[in-house]
Amino acid sequence: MIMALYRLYPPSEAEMRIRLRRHGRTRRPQPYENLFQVTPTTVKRDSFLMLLSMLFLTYWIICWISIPTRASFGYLFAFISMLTCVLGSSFFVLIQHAVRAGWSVIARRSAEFIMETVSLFAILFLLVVINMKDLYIWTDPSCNFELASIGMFYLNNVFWIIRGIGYFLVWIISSKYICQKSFNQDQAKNDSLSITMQKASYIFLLLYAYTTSFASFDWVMSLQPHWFSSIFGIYFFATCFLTGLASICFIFLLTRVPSNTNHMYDFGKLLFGFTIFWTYIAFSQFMLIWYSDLPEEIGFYTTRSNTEEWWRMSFYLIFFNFIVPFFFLIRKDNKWHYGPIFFMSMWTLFFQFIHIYWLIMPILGEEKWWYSLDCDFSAMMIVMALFIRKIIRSCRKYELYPKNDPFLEESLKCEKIH
Amino acid sequence: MNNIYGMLAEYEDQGTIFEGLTKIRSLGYKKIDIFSPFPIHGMEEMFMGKSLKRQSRKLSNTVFGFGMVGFLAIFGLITWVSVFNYPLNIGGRPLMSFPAFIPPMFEITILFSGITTVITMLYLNGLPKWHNPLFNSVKFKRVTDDRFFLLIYATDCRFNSTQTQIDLMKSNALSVEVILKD
Repeated sequence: MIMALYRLYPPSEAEMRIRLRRHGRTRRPQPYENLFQVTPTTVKRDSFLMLLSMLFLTYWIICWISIPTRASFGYLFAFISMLTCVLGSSFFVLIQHAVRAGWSVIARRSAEFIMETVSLFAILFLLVVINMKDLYIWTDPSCNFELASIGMFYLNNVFWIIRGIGYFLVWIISSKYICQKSFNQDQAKNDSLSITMQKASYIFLLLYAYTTSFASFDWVMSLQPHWFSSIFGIYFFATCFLTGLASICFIFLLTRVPSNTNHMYDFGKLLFGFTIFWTYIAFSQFMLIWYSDLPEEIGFYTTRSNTEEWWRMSFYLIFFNFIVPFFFLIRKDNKWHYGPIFFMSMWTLFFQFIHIYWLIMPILGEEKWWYSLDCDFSAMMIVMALFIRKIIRSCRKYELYPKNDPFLEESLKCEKIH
Repeated sequence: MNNIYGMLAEYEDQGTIFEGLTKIRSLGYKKIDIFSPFPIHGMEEMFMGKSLKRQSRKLSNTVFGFGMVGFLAIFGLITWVSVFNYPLNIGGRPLMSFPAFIPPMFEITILFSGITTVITMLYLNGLPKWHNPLFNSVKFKRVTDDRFFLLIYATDCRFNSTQTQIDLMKSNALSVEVILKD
């Protein structure tokens, strides 16, 4: 799949022009720059990704027949993991529009491609709805008497499904609106579309903030209906933004859009900052719950640490999601080059997915976390193959950078700021 | 001879000082300083070199070190206080409960690195300083107004009072002056 993305498209004439202009101003050729500029060959068919997805779907259905609950949890994990990338990219695009950012224009199209795949997730969401009874214990009517009255009102099957539809409506409408405007601008003569996008992004940002928090409450936090945390929405947002940034870097580098090391430096700074932000929020939640040690709150952490394997995994999370990225990205060199940023974005993606695994899986009450990993893997492959197929299709359909954006020049001239 | 601080050349505008600097550098002088009324575009690259690797890391490395010192110091202090010196039972938690130590450790690490950034910066810049031999020159007062100056330190290995004067005059300097230590 990575190879499919890697040999994505032949560079257009306009791109070659920009690439040449860039070469006039490159400081030194970077090793990875050459790696991404091998002789391009178009991927003629992407149907193998569909086939791959169908193959794993078959495997997953076999799992689902034998162990429905485990398979459903695996699917939920895959769905939420990939959805965080999409939501993070959407936030990225909207923020860039809202603040009229110049530096990121060259990378914005990769983010828009990821943002656009949200319609795919609306279809994938159906499988979560079908498996709802296996996933969420509050769907069982006998469970409800334990919940508070607000919980009774909020967590019931019909309202939950309506809310899900609402979130996807908001996301699909806003992503179609923003992306279509941006794609249309490639042919536009003036900058009026940019101004429209900027104005629309203020409203969409607000809507995204609400829908993302409530989606995290509905789909992740309600797995443990007796536990609640008011910081969970922002905790989920931090994960979203990290995976979003990492996937943007990943797609951006693989599409071989001309860039210079200053873009990498900016992405590195954002990754570094949001790694710290994620840790800060995760620790804030943990600290308060650990200190007060109330029986109704501590359940979240006890389910994740009551066996030795889960306890160990919680520690690995701190190490791989905070300590390693922190000491890796604090160096200026490592933010400055293509290779380390590419490596770090893959690292962040992988370990944030592990973090989502850690959020979802312990609810099953398994003693060891590596029990039937094949369900998770096959579910992940279903979602990922479809996701990448959609991105490849949009890469072929649209320009790979916003050709007529008023800030394109500024983005190409992106200079280092000490 | 030992009383010489350096040789100061005066230039009319930023173009001439740029040419002068390239000429002087091509002659092999290393210990050079530029004084100008405003930042000259491209001068930094000229001094630093285009690659980042040659940029000095003294400040960032020192700050990182002192941050680590602060981290360990406060960790030692809290551990000593709450485990050995004055053990208190708080809600039945172990005396060495690490999560509770993290906020002060975070704060003190930042405090140490913040303060040492300022102190190290001042030290590396040679500040505070009461007097600089350059203030002896009357012409140098125009550096805050409209003149550009190039200084070659006497500690430079190629420094030779007659030869350096000739070199500077050849690089289109308006005037050349010897600065004495006092």
